[in-house]
Amino acid sequence: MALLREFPSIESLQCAYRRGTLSPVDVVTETLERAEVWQDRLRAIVLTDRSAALAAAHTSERRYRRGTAGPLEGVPVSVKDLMDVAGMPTRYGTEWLREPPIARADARAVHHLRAAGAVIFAKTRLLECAYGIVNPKDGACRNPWDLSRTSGGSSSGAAAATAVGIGYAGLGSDTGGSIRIPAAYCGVVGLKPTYGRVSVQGVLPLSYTCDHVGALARSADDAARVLCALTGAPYAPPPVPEVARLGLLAPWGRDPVTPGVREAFAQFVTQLQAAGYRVEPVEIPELAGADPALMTVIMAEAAAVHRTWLHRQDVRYAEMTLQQLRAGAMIPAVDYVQALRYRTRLIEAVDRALTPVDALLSPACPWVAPTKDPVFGDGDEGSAEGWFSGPFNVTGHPALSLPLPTLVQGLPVGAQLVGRTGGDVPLCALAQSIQTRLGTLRSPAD
Amino acid sequence: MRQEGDVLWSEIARYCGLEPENPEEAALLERMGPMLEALKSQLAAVRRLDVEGYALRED
Repeated sequence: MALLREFPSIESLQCAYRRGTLSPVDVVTETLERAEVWQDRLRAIVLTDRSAALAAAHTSERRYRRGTAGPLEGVPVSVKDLMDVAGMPTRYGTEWLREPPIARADARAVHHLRAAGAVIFAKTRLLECAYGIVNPKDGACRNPWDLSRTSGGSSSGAAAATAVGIGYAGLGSDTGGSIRIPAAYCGVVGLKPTYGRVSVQGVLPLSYTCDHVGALARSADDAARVLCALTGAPYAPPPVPEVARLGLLAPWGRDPVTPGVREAFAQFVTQLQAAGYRVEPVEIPELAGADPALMTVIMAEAAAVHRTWLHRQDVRYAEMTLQQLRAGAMIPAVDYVQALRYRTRLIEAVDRALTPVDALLSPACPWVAPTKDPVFGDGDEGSAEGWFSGPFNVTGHPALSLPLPTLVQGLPVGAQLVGRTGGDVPLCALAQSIQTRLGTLRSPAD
Repeated sequence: MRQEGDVLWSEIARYCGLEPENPEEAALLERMGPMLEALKSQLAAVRRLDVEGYALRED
């Protein structure tokens, strides 16, 4: 706990490393201890590799002494158990492979993190195959703000762990909101980068069109630093416009936001205006078609991904995952193509809406963390959970979930900012300016 | 008479590898009823999307 209070950001942590007043070995040791302390309550971690993490921390310590530290040197980062980490099994949140494969190489994103000096210390829990369903045999990850509630999904473990300081960031994936929704439920920042910006090599696909690898962190600036490491780009946030313009998205189709979140979000918009941001309404009527297009693309592509396993006798999916995969295999190709054509139209519409503003603004999720995850895309609740996040998986624009500085019924609420294609770092800089001016949410571990 | 957009799930299921003759798979298809109904509405919504003039990707 002292670690989080004294060094709340990656910048402050690395500053202490450089001064020699803090050692990566001590930080990684404390991170591993913290993971153990929280494990029974949260179940955020699937597996840790203590010896490899400590060895990496010692290497980082030497690099600081020699002046050869990388951009994320000595920063503990967890990895969603959908991505390969060399020497560790990849379990995908499921028991359908009785002998989970031991990864022989790092996923490309993990490779980039290591090359930047990050210390990979654990694999985090997820919904089964990142498809929005808790595998009952694997169990759910609980929410650190209220252990009777879900931490969301599918990057549930990464969000819960980051919220309580088990690592400074978590690597996650987002196909319909799987980074931004758990980030909103757990009160951390969740960044889904521009489509294709971060490699998905070595990551079990769910949808080739909608999958994104990104970061969960406690601040937008931390998320930007991780993103830069993931892409090999230097960390160089641009200045935020003096009067940043935010396009407040008008409701499209139905309006699933609950009264508590509506009130908190309205108050947040008022605070933004008082802090000097220019907020103007924006309408994108094409968003009304985003949900069926997203679901059709994801369901069909997920069925294609799992095609060879679906008929194996030794493969046992959870019931709802199996149903979704089987249903996806029944989607006619003409409908799949129609959904992809709509994607092109939607991209154009969102690009147009972004022209006069710096970012689009909406709630990240219609409600606070529920007690149980709705099945992704299933029924009113399942499609409403990703109502705000899903459209930008279809279009591929960078989108970020930012925790509001205040709680609703003791639980965090997220706002979503959507930036221009390729404008990931400016989007993070804008989000960080909001956190700096309006204040940040405390950690549930405080 | 079948209309455009009608889907005979058992036919499609068979083509997609589900075996309605196999009791286990027939039971699965039965349990999938609500999901397939929802899928039907979803696909009807996709068919209503106006994509005139749009290709699969931007040029």
